[in-house]
Amino acid sequence: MHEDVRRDFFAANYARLAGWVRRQVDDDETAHDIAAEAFTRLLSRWSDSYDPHAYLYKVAVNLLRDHWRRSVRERRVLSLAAADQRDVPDGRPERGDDLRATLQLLPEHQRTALLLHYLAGFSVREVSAIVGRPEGTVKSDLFHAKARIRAELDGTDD
Amino acid sequence: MTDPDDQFDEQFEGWLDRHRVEPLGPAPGAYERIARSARRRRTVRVTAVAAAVAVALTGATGVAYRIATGPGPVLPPGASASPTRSAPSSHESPSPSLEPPVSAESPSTSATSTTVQSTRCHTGELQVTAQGSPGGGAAGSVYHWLVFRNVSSRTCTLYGYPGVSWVTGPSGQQVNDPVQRMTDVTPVRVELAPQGVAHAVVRQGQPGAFEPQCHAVQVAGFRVYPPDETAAVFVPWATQACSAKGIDVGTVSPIVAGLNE
Repeated sequence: MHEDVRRDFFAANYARLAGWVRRQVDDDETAHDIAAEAFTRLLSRWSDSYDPHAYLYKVAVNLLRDHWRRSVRERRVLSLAAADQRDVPDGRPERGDDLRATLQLLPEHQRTALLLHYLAGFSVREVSAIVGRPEGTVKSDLFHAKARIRAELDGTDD
Repeated sequence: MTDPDDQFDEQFEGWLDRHRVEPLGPAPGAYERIARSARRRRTVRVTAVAAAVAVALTGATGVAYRIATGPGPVLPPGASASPTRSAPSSHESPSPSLEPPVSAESPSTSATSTTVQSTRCHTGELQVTAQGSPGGGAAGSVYHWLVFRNVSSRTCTLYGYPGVSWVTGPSGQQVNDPVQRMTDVTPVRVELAPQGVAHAVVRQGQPGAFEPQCHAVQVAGFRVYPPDETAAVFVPWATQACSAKGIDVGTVSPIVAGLNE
């Protein structure tokens, strides 16, 4: 039954999507907002002709990109330090430990590929379908993203 | 000496591990809220498309269209009144290229009489059943649901009101006048994929409240005509209805998608 399929899909995927989004935003509320919006769009266009899982993340990637651009603008206005402090526990954080600060070092395509592949667990082929870029390009994005993170992590080790 | 690449892989794994995704469960009732707003958006979109089709049809192929669909407002001119009212929220990002296409509803493909006619769900393609309303009844009222399931292998559409009467049996007598249309709800076009479901709500007053004029009798179910169809089905649903003509005949809502209230 259609309604049951949707409900089951929601139950199976919401927490993971929201958790994945949460890694990239400041607070739970924003993560829920973005996850809920992604599901709303998915359900309003539910069709058997495409993969709902990939579509869900595709929408979330777009919403996150918008959110990201907005918050980058905001951070330029606010002090960068104040904005970044929210998630950092007491004590001096290791470099690379503030995921969002690290992600901010990456160009958009690399960041998206990294998040989808390593954090959300999509295969390179799936990432390629979600972002609409060839597999080879996604592989290259991942390679460069990893290299950038390596440089960042290496900076911590004396 | 450790290979620096292996060392980095280990370091990278550790980094990933620190940022592993922790599930963030939905708030109670989140699905219902999301499904509701999804339905609203779908309605807005379908209404907008329907309005566009109506405009195209009345302009170019109005005559053919009327012949093909017969009487009855399949695509009411008033449909254009609502699309802007509940426009998508500010969350809607300006990236339409990544949205999947709305299935088979573009004005160019629908704007022929054959398409308009052939997408309609026919009686033989539907399994119609009755059930109590999940929400129960309001004070003094009884709500029955008529559930339409597409048992064919194609996607078809339902638009408007089913024709509903109370009957004493599968080929039995009609009891009272036909159930009246609930006119304060705007019908929307419902697309039913194979095994998809939609429902209409039949509301009646508690027959007991209409005595002594009501003359309540036991009825065996409904005779139901899907919208614009000339063949009816008998839907078993034992209940009480008034037998006196015109007393508490009940109302029926337009068909809406799914099984949510």
